[in-house]
Amino acid sequence: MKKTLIWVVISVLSLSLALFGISCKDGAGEEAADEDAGITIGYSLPFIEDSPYTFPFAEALKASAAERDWEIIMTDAKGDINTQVNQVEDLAAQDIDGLLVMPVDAAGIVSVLEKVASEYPDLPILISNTQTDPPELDAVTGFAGPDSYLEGKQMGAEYVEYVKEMGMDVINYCHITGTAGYGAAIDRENGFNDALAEAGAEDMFNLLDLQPGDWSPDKGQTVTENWLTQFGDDLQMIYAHNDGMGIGVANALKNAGLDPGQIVTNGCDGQTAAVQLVKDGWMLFTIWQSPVADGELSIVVMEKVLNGEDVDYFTYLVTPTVDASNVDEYLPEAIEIWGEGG
Amino acid sequence: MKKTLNTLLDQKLVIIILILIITLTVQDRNFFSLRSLTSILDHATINGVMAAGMTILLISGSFDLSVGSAMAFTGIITIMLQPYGLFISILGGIIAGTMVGVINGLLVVKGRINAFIATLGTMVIFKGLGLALTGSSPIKGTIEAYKVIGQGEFLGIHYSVIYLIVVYIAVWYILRYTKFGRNDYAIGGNALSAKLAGINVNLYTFTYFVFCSFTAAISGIILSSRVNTANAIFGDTTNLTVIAAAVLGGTSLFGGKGSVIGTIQGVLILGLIERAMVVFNVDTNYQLLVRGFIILAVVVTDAVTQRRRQLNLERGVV
Repeated sequence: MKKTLIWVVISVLSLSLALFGISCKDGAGEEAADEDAGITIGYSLPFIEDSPYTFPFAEALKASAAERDWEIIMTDAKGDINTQVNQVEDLAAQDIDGLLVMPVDAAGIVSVLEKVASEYPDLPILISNTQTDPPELDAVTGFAGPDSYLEGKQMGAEYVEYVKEMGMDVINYCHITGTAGYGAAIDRENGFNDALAEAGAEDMFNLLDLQPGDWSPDKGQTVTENWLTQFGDDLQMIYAHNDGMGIGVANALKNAGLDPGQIVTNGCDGQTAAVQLVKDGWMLFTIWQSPVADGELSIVVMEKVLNGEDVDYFTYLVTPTVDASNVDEYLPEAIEIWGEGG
Repeated sequence: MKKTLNTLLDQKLVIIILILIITLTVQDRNFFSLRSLTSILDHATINGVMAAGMTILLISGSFDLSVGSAMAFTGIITIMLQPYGLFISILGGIIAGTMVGVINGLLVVKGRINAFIATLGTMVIFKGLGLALTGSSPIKGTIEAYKVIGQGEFLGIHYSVIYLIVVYIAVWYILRYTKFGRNDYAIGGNALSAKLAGINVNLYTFTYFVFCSFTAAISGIILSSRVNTANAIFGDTTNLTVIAAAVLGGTSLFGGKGSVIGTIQGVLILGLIERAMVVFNVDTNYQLLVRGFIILAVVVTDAVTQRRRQLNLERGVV
């Protein structure tokens, strides 16, 4: 009897709260008594843990936003597309002036972007750092970040040059990619392959195996160790999509007692550790992709959009190649961005 | 008075949910609207549906680490079969996902392999199969109508919410009024006694595994329809969230205890916490900490309340 009474009380309370709520204004698009003229933006990150890039990127976002007196709400999807879809909807439902998204899955994010665009037509949406599939969407104002496809081509071209310089007919290589479905991973794979095709060098590259390394140094190391066991002396090159994995690759090579350059590898981002590996000869090159510049770029482009300026759909970050010839120029800045051990 | 207080405290999950809702509304006026509240349910659907199936399995004393893989695998098979028509693709997908449960059931019941190890194995195998089938790449859906399942709305309420409610009512009914459900508690409580009482423990355990994967398959359809894509890496972190929701809701990891009423509350609490992260703009560095802290608080309160109940029982206070 008592228990029933409690349930009745709770139900009545809940019901009255619910009715009270329904009689209130619906959230979407309504202006609450918001005296605050300040700008608030929402940023949906795909993941933060286990990614050396995303952390300084997020810090740069916060710093850029703070410089402009903007409030920034950031979410972390922990690598899960369902979580990101929910978070993008949650962010859009908040009173934000602009939405930035770094998609976990290039194709999977499209539906929610279209939905948010139709529900909140005045909310500008910017894709940041890694592109959607398809890259151009009506629902979205634009993209700001590195041109990952171009980076893939840069990297392919570097390897083609290396093979030609070494006078090799054929090189046996393995390919370790970023997380499956991630825009930058797809781009760096396609860019690389296209560069080989454009140079007419496809026949010179013999692909032994392709594995996802999920951007992680741990996976980079484990996958490489497996490859060394599997292919032994046949393996001559490992193409990695980022510094994180490249560093793992280099660790595995070091642990196996190899000499620098015996099996060539590379990175992309310009982490201190990677730049050092280029200097020491383990990595043939890395691509300079400053997370600080990248984060700032997203904020700058969003600012332009909010000011009503005309913006191109694609705003690309400059990403020069770092190799033995210019490594000393980049090392100090790398330390500044990523720290001594970064 | 004391009795009232005790009974009220027993509903701690409901209280926590109300506290979360009130706190969120205070912080963000717009939170308290039909649209906003139902969006919590909508977001919770995928994990929620799986949690219902997981609850049944947990009650029987087993558990399943492969639900995330089954979910992703379902999406993959469904989208791969789309060229053969919507109906066949969905049917094929559900069968594929449920197949994971069949294998789990066989491994545990016939193979006498520990549930943890067996489902860990299938988790990896089906993820690997998914990667192999898709070439480690996502595959996109090709039928427009398919998107309606996960994205459709009726008067502002997502279809997902309806699926969630239907599943929970169905599972509640099963647990309460069917032999399938009653045996669940019996087997989880004491498998030997259940066997001696004439229950075919092996058969029923097998069906619980199948049912758990079946709900994962349904979630797989909803997810792949919602994002119109399938990718072998979907659902990597899902198992933990699903089991956490059930345990938060009062289902015991040791079996014999639990209910979907509790699970749905666990699902709601986790969903409200996620929304709170955004509404309160919790710094990403601290989000994991905050989540863990809240969950710990609930579990500790549960343990304390359990202990008090135990003491009262010993003292003769009813």
